[in-house]
Amino acid sequence: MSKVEDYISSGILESYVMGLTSNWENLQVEAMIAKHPEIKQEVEAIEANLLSLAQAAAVTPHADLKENIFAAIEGRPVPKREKEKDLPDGKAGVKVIDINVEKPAAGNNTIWKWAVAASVTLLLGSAAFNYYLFGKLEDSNSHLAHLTNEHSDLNKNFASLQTNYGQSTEQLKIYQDANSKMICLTPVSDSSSLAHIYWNQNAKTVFVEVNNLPLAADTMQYELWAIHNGTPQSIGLLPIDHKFDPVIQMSNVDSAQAFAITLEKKGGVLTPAGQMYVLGKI
Amino acid sequence: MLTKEENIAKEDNLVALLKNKDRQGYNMLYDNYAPTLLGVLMKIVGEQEAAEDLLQDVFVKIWNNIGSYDPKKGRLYTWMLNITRNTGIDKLRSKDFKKGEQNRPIDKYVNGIREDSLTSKTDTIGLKKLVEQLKPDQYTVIDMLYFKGYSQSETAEALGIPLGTVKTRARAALLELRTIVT
Repeated sequence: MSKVEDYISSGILESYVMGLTSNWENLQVEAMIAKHPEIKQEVEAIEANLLSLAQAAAVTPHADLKENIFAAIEGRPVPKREKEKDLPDGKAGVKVIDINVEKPAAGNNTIWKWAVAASVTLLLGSAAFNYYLFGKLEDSNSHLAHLTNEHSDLNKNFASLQTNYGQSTEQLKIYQDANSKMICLTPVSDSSSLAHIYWNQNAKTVFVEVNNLPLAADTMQYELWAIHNGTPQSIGLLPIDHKFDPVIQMSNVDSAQAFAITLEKKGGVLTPAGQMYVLGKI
Repeated sequence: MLTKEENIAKEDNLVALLKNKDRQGYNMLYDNYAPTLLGVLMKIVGEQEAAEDLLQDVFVKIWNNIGSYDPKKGRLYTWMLNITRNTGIDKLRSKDFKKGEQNRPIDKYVNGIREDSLTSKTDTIGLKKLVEQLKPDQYTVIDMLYFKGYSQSETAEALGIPLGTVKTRARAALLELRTIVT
């Protein structure tokens, strides 16, 4: 027997058509069907076969089932089918009245009792429902407040991220600028101090990136100097809050051979008098 | 009688109508297949009213899932028959159904065809005739697999035969039916 015949006679195709195979087996069978026309033909024969088996068992549906099914698929309410056989045998639909018992007055009274009971029930039901709705409303309100808070927090986060992003982009531009010269300012007295200057000699702009400087006393402030022909010229003060991130733009510089940072009296001085922390020569 | 090609062309048309949620298409579907699908459900749950409720579920499922029917994987009626069987078998296994019905013991099958699987309802005489021509052990396998929702390994266990035999016996039964029907 050939491989294909073996495959057909294994019975897997019957299982496949009956939906009894695993997803993995389905993939295999589908591949075999695509590859071998004999297998495809066999599958079609099995399908027809199972259809005739099912057709042999056919049962005519109740006459109003079709309308119910159309109601169901079109989302209309499905009419309740009459179930005569649900009624106790012989008494179907027949109301039994005991002619020996006549209580019209009691009957009247009963109607009132029922009416009152019904109103009270409705009232209680309505009150309970209102209470329930009120609870729902409160839940919704607190949920809304929560969402509003969350929304404003997200907005703040977003704004701060946007600022960060803007700064990073600016910084990147400075780093990548081909005309920008990077000067490393290395420690003079304190060994861990470090800063970088990015000087665009075309645009004359100067940015300082402070990598590390010791925390200054309240009365003191760092000052940046451009040194031209041995003469230091102040190009600005660093913020007293010690927040140097990410880069700070200083005054423009036309020409200089070196940059330095010194610690001066708060507010700055015209000529450097304090301790020099970092210095970088071009 | 239509040729196979004509039949397939007719079915392709029907599928297109069904995918468009065309009322006429569902009308045709109902007229052509409702008795067959109801018969399958009756075989599974055994009672007409329950089967008719399930048939309603089946049509809703067809309506909702027709988009996922892929003609490359088989004929429309095979897809519908499997939805129908699964719906019936799910019901058969559900708690509320088992409560009403004595849980059917698996070993009743060992001696061959169950009494209730060949009810004398006029509508199912066709099936009875068909099935009478099969060997009992062949029909039992088809009945368990196709109408009672047994998996192949459950069938093998219940009948005390190897899994491979379940598959080949099902195949032999369907081959036998093929010669009877055509």
